[in-house]
Amino acid sequence: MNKPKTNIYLVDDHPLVREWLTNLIHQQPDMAVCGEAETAPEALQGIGRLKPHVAIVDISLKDGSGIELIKSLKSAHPGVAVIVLSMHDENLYAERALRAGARGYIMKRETAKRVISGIRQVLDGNICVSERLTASFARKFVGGAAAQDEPPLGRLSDRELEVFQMLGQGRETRQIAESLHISIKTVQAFCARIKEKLHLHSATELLREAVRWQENQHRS
Amino acid sequence: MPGSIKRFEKQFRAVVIAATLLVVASIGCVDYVAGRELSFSVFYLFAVGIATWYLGARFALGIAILSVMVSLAGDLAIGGRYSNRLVPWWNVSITLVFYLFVIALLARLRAVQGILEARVKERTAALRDEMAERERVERELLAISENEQRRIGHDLHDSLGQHLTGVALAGQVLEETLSARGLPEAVDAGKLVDLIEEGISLTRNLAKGLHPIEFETDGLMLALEELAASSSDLFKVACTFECDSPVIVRDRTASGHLYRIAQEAISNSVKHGKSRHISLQLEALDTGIALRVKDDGCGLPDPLPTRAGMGLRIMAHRASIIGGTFEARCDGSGGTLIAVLLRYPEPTGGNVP
Repeated sequence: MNKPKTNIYLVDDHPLVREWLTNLIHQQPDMAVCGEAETAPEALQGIGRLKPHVAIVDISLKDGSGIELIKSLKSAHPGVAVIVLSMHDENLYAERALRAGARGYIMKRETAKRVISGIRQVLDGNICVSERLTASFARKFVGGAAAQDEPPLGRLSDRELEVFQMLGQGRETRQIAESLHISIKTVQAFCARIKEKLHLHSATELLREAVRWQENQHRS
Repeated sequence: MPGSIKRFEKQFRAVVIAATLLVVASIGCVDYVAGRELSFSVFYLFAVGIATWYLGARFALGIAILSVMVSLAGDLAIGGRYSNRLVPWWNVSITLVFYLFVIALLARLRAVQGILEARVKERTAALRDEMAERERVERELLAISENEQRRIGHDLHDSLGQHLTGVALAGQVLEETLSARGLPEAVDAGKLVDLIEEGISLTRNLAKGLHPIEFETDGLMLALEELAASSSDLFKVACTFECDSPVIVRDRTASGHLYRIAQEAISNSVKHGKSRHISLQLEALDTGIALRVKDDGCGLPDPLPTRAGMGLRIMAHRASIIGGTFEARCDGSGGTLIAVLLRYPEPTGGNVP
């Protein structure tokens, strides 16, 4: 056992979870917990100091969004692989967490069995998400929506793009209709065509895709 | 406003005074023409009555005295002969007493009517206040129960869920320790971890039912989508969610009530309507946002049994709280249609980004 241990840093606001996660990790011969934090600022400081290999982050922290923490970690300490632990459903947050820079997303209801293998997966350079999510990503890839980082907006007409942009800005159907001087029915027809062209299955997916695209526009 | 009412009252009084005097004068003329033998005292009573009702007892007394004087003057002018000089005065006095008696009666009646009117007005106002108060209390009660549910949901999700996660991790540690020692109990420990993880799932689902809507712009759509899916599982029916273009409801109270209406409608449709297919629709219309729950069940019974009626009333109440209109009727195809229309609050500044 001369090989140096993998250092892991825990960020979770629940002491019991931290305690037993530490115990579980310490049971592995090749892993050790090098530090832990309850809040995002503490975590940023601790990770900067200890330079762990892996950080395990709960995205619902007391003092705000863990997603923001992941973004800051990615820019400040790109070498640290972040795995998200969350009570929230993966459908809701996994994609967002991965886009923010996380390398894995594990729901708390399956933590005990999966966290160790998840850490190993990430150390091997893989992404650690559930099979269901992997399948859904693959479907999107085949559908073309994720072939590039951007959705294939080239297929949209100017008017459709305008509607898509406004959706991304969080405007309601009625507001879009008002500002484009068209009827609500027409806006709905545009939405239907956008969904078809971007291979989106529901209004929820459409809205999320539009918001995501808008966020990326702002960033670049 | 009170100024114009006062002016109207003054004008009305003047008109009534003029009319009363005119009536006395006309009857006086007729009385004079008709001669001494015919008594007209009953006709003067008309003027006295009007004066009592509209102008008060004191004015009516004046009119009564005026009436007997006019009558007496007429009789004297005709120049009749009486067996005694006091006879006309006696007759006048009798008539006057009769008038006074009528004035007193009418004035009393008028007073009673006034009191009654005031009381009815008072009760109406009190009733209106009470209804407003009751509506406020009902609204508050619903809000309290909603908040309480949200709090419990939040606690379940965060505290209990996290605690169970810790316990599952502890179980995993135990399993690995046991299996490292080659003990067969490791299998049981593994099962224990599975059971605890099932517990976490259960907790999450419970929390979801109590606190269904995430505070995202697409929160209501997502929540209804999940509601359709979980209802299909739970009730073994085909429950679908149809929403063609994004519908955003930013008002948390409104989206909360819309969700509960959908939930109640689905449960009614399964329990009372015995339906196999339920379609949940959310749509932005020109006038507002429409939520519809359609099923292929046996429709609404007529008359409604009290319990089912209660569910409908609560749905209607929820709709009214958020300013929506509620409709429950038999669909053309035999099933039931529950529809809520939530009108847009006010024109938005569509051109402001």
